[in-house]
Amino acid sequence: MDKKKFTLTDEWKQQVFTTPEGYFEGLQERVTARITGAPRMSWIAALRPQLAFALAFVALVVVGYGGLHLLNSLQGDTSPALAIDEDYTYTGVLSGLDENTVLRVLSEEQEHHTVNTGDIIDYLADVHISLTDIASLD
Amino acid sequence: MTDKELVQLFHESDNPNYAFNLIVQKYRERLYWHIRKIVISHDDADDVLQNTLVKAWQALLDFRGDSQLFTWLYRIATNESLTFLKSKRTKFFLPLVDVEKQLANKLADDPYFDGNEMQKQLQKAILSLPEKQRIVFNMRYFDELKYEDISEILGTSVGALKASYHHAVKKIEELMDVD
Repeated sequence: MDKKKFTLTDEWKQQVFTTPEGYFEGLQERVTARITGAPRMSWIAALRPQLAFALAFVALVVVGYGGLHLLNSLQGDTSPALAIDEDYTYTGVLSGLDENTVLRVLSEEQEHHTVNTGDIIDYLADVHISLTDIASLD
Repeated sequence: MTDKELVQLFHESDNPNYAFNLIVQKYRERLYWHIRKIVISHDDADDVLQNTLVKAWQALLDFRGDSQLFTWLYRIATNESLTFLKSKRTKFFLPLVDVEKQLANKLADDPYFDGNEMQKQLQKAILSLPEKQRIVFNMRYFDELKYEDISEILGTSVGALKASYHHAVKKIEELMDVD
């Protein structure tokens, strides 16, 4: 006689395990007894906002530096990003002024530093140097 | 109350115990039967379920609703069950197969098993499956979970789960035929 082939139909889904009576009702109490104090937050969760802020800052710095670096390399400048062309700076500043203004400023500066002979004689007299000594000086 | 409302109540209420009790009430039986089918004995299932709920309580503050609450709880329950079996194996220096054999033997003397001889044979056939395949089979066949939910719980692709379930059914039917 042929043995009937076993097929896993829904009839085998029937619950075959049982529990002691009132098990689920008492479970709540046992779990509550094991839970003491407030639920705690893991250190990662507690630090999440600060970590996010720090990561955002690092990302900003990296992107900023990368952008500057990229800009420099696109301009064909292989020197550090903040290098300054000195000649360019002087000519840049002076290019905003006309020639007469520059000459006037320089001559005023010279006037300020000019000392006449009278001032020198007065000074030497103040420090008690005789006129003969002064006259002996050429 | 929906899962979302329960989680919100837990996060915002002055009494998170109340919200947690509601969650336990809602899911205790589903989680118990899931665990029970993995560890077989009632006493072990009770221990693992309690550990699962304590872990859930501790971690619920971190739960932000990226996944469904029930798949999140199932994941904890599955991990706790697997950890339990692993600790059993390490404790008694048993290879994988022997643990399953032990579970099958337990089934024979279990006072909380209410099935007939054929149903006992079916449970033994299920126990002969590789551990992960057995869990996939239980979740799909008995708990009737969607593959998408099982995928979220186990972190395995839907395609792999379908193949695993197909192999499990085939193997169980073959074993039951021989017996």
